[in-house]
Amino acid sequence: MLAIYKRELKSYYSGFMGFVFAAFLLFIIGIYFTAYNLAQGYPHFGYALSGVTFVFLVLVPIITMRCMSEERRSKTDQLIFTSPVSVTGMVLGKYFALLTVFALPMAITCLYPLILASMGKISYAMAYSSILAFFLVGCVDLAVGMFISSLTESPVLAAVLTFVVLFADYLISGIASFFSNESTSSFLGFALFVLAVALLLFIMTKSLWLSVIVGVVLEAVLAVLYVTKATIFTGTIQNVLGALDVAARMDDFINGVFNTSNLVYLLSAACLFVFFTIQSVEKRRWY
Amino acid sequence: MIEVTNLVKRYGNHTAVDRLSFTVEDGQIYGFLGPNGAGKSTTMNIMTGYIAATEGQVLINGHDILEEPAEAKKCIGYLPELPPLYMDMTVREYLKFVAELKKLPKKEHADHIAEVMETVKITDMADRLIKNLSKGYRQRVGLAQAIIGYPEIIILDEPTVGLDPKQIIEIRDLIRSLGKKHTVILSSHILSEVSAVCDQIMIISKGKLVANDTPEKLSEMASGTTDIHLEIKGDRERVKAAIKSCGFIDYIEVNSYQKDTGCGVYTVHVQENQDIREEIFYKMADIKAPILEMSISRKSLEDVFLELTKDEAVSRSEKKAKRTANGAENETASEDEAGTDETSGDEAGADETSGDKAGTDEAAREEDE
Repeated sequence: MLAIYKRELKSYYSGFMGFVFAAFLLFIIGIYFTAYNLAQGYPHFGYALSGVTFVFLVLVPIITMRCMSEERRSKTDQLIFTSPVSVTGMVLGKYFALLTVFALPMAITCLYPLILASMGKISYAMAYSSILAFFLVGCVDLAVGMFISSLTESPVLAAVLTFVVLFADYLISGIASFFSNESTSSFLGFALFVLAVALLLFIMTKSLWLSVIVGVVLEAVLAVLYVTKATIFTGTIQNVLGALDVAARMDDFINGVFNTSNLVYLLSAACLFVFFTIQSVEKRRWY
Repeated sequence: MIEVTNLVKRYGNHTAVDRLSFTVEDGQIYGFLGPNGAGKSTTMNIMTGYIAATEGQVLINGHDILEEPAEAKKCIGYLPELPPLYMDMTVREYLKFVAELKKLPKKEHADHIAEVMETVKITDMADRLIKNLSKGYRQRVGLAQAIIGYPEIIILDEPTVGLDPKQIIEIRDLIRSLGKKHTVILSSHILSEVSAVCDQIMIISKGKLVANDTPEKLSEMASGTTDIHLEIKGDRERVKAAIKSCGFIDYIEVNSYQKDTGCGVYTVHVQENQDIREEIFYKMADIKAPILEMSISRKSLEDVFLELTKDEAVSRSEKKAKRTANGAENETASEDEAGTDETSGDEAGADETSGDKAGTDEAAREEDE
């Protein structure tokens, strides 16, 4: 694992990728920091960071796109999988290298609150917990990007898919507000979702009976619930979509609430996608 | 030691490897031979743990490649078809990375890498980026990668592809010297390469093992079927009778005969590795039929390979049927030479028994499968 970590890190910095990542991230954070904190004299650094989350849409696909797909394309994965290194070790090595590339510019941003402090009184706890939350959101996005990169052999496709997924997640709170709060709209939304699940099941298993039965049973459960207790559908779709909004986990931290549940949410989401990556790599060796 | 039992790999409906079983003993050089798409690379990929088999088991020194991958993979060095090189690293960096991957003691890295680079003659290239190396040097770096840590078993998938003739000879010598201390398995579709280097040859066709023997034994399988090609001017029947009287003749084919000039082209199938060219010369001199051309072709490993990798049993039995038909034709063609016919009939009988033997071998193999 250490060997892979070192190799990855070296390859990020022997090319320009690592430097571009750091420079772009620091540039954008610097602009927001100047505009919000320095120009307007607002003492909360977290406020600037919350405006910066969109950089992940650009930076994460660029840095993660080659992470897994390139190995597969150039067949260098043959070396790794035939040497005494586990798949878990390989994926973790790569993920930690990504995190390191991300952590280095973040370490520099840790100086910004100190700059602010020289001009007046600020809350260090709020500033640094915001930086932590921003970092964790980035970790989740990097894990998502790595997972998508493991699905394909083409780095370009991986980058586009990662962008689409992160963009959808970025807009998800906006999408949620399109739905009406009433139970009927939630019910219809779930009904469509169940249909999509059944279709996906059919595509994956090629078993018509299984997908039809699963689809019908789930729709029946939904219908029964809707008829007997319609109130549970009130606003449900907003809640569900809201739960998928990764960047929203930052809000509490920025407002000065150290919310442990959000911390657990971000950490487990990152772990989940690292786990998915491991599974997707393992699966490919069995197909 | 590698034990492979009942290996099956299916890609959808396509069976790439079909119930392959063999054992690789220590300290020998094994050659995997087969036409393109025979399943050589797939088998090697499964043996090294890169992909998993659909069915069957691979034991490396008693460790199952799927159950105890770390132990099993420590014993193996693998050079895949395409050397797994990182283009953005220098040769030295790359080999250091491989040494770390293989968990060699850190202190030995520098010395060991220097030694390996010396062995495959890439010391001059040590600090160049791999993307700037030629195909031959890349192949050598790949080879260096496989022998780093001196694993007990070295598996090489087409190690000489893309090299110039001089490099091929060097790599072969290298493989031979590696074979003194390690078990080497190499794959190739080039016959001369395998027969030059290997102690044991495994021929694979359509995912099945069709032969597993030493090169000498495999060539012996082809013995008894030397062909002599002749162009002789003279009456067809007289020439045939004269040739038959030489003995050791399996049967004679008349490829072409021109009535006006009396020139005929004959192929004489001779039993066992008998060289009867001299006798033919004198016989023809006796009947005053000048030999315009004569050449001999012994069945080589190549013919065995071609025969084994064809549509196997079907084509073989077809060939046998064709041969007996030919024999019958020859017999009717030379009724007057009853005596020689008898001998040729005997020979044909002997041929049939050997053919039968091959047939039973085949049947036994099929039963094994």
